[in-house]
Amino acid sequence: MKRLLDWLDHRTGYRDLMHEALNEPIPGGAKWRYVWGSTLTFTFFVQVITGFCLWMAYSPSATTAWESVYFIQHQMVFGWVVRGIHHFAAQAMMILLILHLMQVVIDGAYRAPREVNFWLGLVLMQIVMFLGLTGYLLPWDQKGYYATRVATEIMGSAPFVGPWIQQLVQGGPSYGNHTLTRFFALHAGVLPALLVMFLGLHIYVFRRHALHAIKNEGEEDGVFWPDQILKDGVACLAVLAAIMGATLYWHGAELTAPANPAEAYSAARPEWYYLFLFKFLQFEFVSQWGEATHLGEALGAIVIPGVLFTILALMPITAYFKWGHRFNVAYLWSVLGIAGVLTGMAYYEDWYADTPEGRDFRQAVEEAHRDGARTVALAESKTGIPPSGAALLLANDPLTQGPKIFEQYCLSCHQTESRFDDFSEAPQAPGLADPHIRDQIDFGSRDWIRSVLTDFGGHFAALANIEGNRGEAAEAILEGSMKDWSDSNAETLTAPENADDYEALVEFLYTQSQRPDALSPESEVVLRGMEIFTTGELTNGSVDACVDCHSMHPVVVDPTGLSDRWILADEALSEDLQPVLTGYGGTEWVLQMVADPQAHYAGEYGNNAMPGFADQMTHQELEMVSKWLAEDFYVVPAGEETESH
Amino acid sequence: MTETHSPDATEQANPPRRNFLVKFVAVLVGGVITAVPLVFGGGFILNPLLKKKSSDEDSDGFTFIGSTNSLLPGGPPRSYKVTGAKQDAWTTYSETAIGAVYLKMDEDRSVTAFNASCPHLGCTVNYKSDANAFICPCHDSSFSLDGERSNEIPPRGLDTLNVEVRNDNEIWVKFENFRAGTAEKIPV
Repeated sequence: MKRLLDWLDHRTGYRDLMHEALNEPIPGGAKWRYVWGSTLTFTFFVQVITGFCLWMAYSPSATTAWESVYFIQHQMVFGWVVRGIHHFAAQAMMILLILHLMQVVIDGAYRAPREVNFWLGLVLMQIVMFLGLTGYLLPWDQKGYYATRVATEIMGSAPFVGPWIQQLVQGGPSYGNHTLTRFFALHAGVLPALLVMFLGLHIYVFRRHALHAIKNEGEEDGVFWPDQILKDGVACLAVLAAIMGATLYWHGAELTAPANPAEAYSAARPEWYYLFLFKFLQFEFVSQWGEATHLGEALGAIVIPGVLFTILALMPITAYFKWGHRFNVAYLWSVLGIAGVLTGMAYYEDWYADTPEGRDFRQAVEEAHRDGARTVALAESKTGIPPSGAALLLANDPLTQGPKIFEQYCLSCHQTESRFDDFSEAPQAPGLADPHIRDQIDFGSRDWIRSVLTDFGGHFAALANIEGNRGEAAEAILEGSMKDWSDSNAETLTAPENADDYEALVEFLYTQSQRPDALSPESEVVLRGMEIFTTGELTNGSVDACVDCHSMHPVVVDPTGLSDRWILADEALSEDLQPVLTGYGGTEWVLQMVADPQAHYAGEYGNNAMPGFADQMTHQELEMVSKWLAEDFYVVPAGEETESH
Repeated sequence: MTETHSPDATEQANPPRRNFLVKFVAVLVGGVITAVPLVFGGGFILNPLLKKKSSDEDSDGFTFIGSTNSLLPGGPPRSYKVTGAKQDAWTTYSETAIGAVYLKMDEDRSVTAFNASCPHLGCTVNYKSDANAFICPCHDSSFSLDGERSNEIPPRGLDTLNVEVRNDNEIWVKFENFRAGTAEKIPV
């Protein structure tokens, strides 16, 4: 063994190298305050390891980026751990950078002969910040997409060359495949290569000038190995523990819904270390100055930060003047202090302030979480992610899109009690569902059916608020034959002896909607309900038969077994009567009702007070809102819910 | 505050007593902080070996290939694309190309199916009508029409697949891939 090592030393001189590396003297002995550089190098090592892993599973394109990150996060062995470590180590790196910078400035370690190394350090800081910026976009989720767009718009605001720079960075006039390929090449190739290069120079120059020691009286000198290395190692261990702790606590890094330029994201914020700049740009005076100087956004976003950074870079020169070092220390504390205050303000306003903006932000964050979790649920369903990408899963999901369309077109008339405060005008129709409470649909529920049957007047009371030419029809509905039916039959239906029959009638109607919790058309209760619907005969007494006024073509189980959905029976119970109750409360019924209520509900002679939406909504919108109201959307089977991160 | 500049100070610095324990703990700590990212990273990279493939047992594994009318009894074999559902990492294809087969009909109208992948190293073999044989374009593996190897290049004959004729004229094949380079037929 010894001979082998001798041979190796003769050929490589590794012993001198080891000696050089390990036996660096430390005047005044090892100290905790010297650990920052090592923790940064260690964190970078962690980023390289986890980064290479993620690289093996990541695919940079607009239809595969989110999808591959989803696969990492939810399907791969240790996927969420590796991604979580990479995410939180990036945060740790920023914190450590600031601490390292503070230590260097406060100790005066930036002064001659170490100026160049100070500048190398500043270059490294810029590289790390760009790594953070480029990495944030790669998952191609709503959060990263919109935050990064702000950053590239800022680049575009730079004087003269801005628009060109922006196009170069984006790989074109707008975001797309080439934005991702470019950001990825920067993030995983160019920037790390530069970082390694500058880190090498940084360490080389550091060793050349030796440690800038802070030696107090009576302290013994030490050596790098093992005294300082142990301290460095323990510090790295603490950093690693913090990273692992954060990863486990938050179950890795967040993945919001896939990026969608058509879908606004009101919670767009940069990463926390850019938050001070974000807050700064929000001040009106910044915009006013920008306008006054004709620099626009560039003043606050580029010129002022640039000046502040230049003062930082000039520190070694400033230090030659009397009081120069004191100025530098005071300057650093003030800049960090102001940035800290701005960050705190931004954070407070978003997360705690009881202002409309704060509430909107938190609402948007909540929706982003919800949409992210929903996309994951859809991706994990049997349908999976189609080759066209996961953004379509959400765009074609009635549970996600239905409430948005309903909010826009339907809610102002169909107000629910929970939303009365949002409108100055009274509701003109019964509440159907609150888009904010999207998994609870009142329309077509069993309660809804009971209420229509036994309290028709109360159920549709809001119709009385309709004015103008539809008011007449509304009045006619409120005084019409169904009102009479309800008034005269309610007592019989709700009589205790008829409780089972009443339930059977409700179940029969409910089954027509094919909702997930509807009973099978073959179940006894539903068959009994059909009998009552047809004859009106109850255990005790009778009601006027429903078939006398309504068309009804009931559903049956598909005898061929080809379809999971029920199909219409061979024969109808009644035909050519309106309102049509075939498929009542189901997707098709709702769609017809929303698109053209007059034709479907009232025909030539009947009463209808609702406007048709066929010429206002696209077919896709009609379908989304109808499927939502009919509860015709994918529901995660009980016991299969996964963590929503 | 005292400053030390010269790197030459190394030699003069009198190293304090190095105690074994400090070194031991330093190496231990160094080992732990290196191991943690490597272990998680290692597990991540080994994903293909650690993660069991989820098999979809909904169907019987047979895929519709074509009609018996497209084959002549005793005629030459023909090549058919095989399409089917496929899960490729995050993407779910409801219908995509998953391979190719050769179908051949004997005089007694029985149909034989071969996976078109060469059992040598996985290239797709061609049917050469002039040689009346299957020949692989990569390394000249050659097979007779009944799938038996006719030179020593491939380790085994072409892989036959289970065939069923349903509804009079529909040819259904249970499409499977087998490991290349082995004398035995081992499904992958």
